[in-house]
Amino acid sequence: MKANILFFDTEHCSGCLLCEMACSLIQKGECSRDGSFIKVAIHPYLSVPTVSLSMDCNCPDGQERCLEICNQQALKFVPRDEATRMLTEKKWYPSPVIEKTVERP
Amino acid sequence: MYGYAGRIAFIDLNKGKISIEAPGEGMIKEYLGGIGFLTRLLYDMVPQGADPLGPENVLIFANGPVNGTLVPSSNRWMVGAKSPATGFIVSGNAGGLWGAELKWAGFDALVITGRSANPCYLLVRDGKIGILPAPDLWGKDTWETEALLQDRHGDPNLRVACIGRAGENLVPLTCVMGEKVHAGGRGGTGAVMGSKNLKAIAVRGHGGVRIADPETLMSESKRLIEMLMGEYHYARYRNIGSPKGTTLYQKMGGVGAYNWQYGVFDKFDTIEGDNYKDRYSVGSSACGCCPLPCWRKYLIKEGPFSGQWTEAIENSTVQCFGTRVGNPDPEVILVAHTLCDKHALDEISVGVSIAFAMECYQKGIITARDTGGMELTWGNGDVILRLIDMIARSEGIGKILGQGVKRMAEAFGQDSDKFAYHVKGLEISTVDPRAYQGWALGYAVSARGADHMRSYASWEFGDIPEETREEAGIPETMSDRFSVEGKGKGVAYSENVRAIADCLEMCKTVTRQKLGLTKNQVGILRAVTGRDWSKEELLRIGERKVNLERLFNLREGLRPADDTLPWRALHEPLPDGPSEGRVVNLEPMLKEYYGVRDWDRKTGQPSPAKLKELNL
Repeated sequence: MKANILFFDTEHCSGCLLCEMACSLIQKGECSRDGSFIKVAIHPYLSVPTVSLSMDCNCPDGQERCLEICNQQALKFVPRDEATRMLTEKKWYPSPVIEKTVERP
Repeated sequence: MYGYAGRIAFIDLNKGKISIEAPGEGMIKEYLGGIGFLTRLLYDMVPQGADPLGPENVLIFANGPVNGTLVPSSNRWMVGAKSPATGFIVSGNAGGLWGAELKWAGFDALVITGRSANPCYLLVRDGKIGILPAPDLWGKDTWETEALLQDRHGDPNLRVACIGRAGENLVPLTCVMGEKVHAGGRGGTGAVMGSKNLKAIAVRGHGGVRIADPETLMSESKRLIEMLMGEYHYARYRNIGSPKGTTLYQKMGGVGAYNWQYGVFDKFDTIEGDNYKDRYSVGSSACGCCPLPCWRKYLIKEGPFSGQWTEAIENSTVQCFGTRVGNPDPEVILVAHTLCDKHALDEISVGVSIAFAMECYQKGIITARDTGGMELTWGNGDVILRLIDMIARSEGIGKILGQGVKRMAEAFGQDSDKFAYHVKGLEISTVDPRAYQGWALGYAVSARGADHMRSYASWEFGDIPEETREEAGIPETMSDRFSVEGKGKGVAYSENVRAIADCLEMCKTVTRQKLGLTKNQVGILRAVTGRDWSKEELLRIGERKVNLERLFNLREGLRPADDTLPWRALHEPLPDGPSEGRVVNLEPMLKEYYGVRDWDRKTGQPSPAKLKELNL
């Protein structure tokens, strides 16, 4: 699991999936939703997105490709010791963490 | 195969059989994908003289080579057929995620022939296609249909493109609606779908698009996104969405008020673009893979329409249910838009048809006896909403309104054709042609009938990057809206580059400036597909698509005289505003356009040399 915690901006995340496309592109050499470690769930009726992150994510801190492509600046990786303070910021929401999908010993 | 799924499905609803073919190398090289594939297949498969609502018509859905990738705005999809509104070729383009999902499900295109004996839907999932019964879906609106199918298959990510009641009733003013709010609009493709007893196509794919050069795609996509964010229209679309465009038309005196009787709408303030953001907006979304979230969501919080939820209104929405019909109530516009979405009606054509009926009523050409007692007075919100429903149900006066203004004028007579705003049987969509000469030419020559998105010569509004002008060789007069000089060349170039966006299936709003330049497209195309197209080859693909549409239409009886505009636009000067006194000076622009295209002015035929050059 990454040391830093992913927060997403509930006001600015547009649900565009560019983060998913960038992640799967670099991790798997293809663009797909299933191949991405960052996951955007979009409500089927309200079209409102929620962003979560798989424990599979192995990007070094500060080099996350999802972050690099997000032009709405709706993603932020925050060191753990600063993360609790982020909870006081209304629009930033901590991304749920999803269990690993890769093979485990 | 990189970029492409490499599979086109041919679905015969007569026999219930499905076959899969790979797109040939020649097809890929010369038609690229999206509207290119669609046009080639329609030309080859639709018999001359086919009844648009008969089983011999062919309905095609297609995505493009960059769909479902990191390429900015690579989400669009195309639906096309022979049009029941015009009798010519038609295709509509929509966003959302349906097109990308089709690629992830393993298909570049779906080609649907024949007619099912009973209502059915297609389930396209991970490389497989099923034709399933849909008796319970028939009669449902588009929102209900999507929810029912997601429930039935236990998948909230099932993407549904479907028709509503209007398509079932074979109303020519229909479209196909994707994911509730993304209209593959114009020309009656919904009626074609209804004629095939096909209610919906539900798509889901867990696969991916293989990319030839991932790191280059990453760096090129970032570069293009940064470029887009520096363009002036980005902030406007980001903040308010498309409705703000109507403000420009109002300022320029081309807003088509009261069925195009005036260039300025006297009650515009309440329906101006900012109102929707300030009073009703509850956030914005983006279509798949798009860095420009222009799709806003609205909630009416109080009053008679309290609780009304509406998404993605457009510039054309504000005009068609606002200025065109003399309506100053923004809430009627929001409700009318959603009603059209739920019925899968083409709101542009619906708005123009209602406006035309209102002018006929104003002039006494029709009376309350013809309307079942309804008073078709300007701005009557109740009547507007009731008429939309009647059009969808093909009831009462709605039956004739649903045929569009060309057929309405034929039925009403009394010279009403002079102010029936259509070209080739399709209603005019946005700005009044008298206010923008080049835009007017685009309406006149568009293969699918009057529509702004085929040429989308937005540089006439002033957004013409110098490099675009140089690349096209367009004279500076292109951005002078009242000049006719250079408009033929400008519109022909514009049609070619918009066709490339429609082949790639990128958004034409996003690509309206620099992202629409071929020099900015060859790199991403190479990174995705591993194939090389030169800038010139891409332009040739766009030109080939325009010429092939032309050949389709000539085969169906198109004459050069059909490349025209309504009488009012050519002969009745605008009475007010900054465009006062203007009519369209069409002939010199047509002459230049035909010359640039190398089309015969008398027969409309492309020259043999042009056809050879394009390998047609």
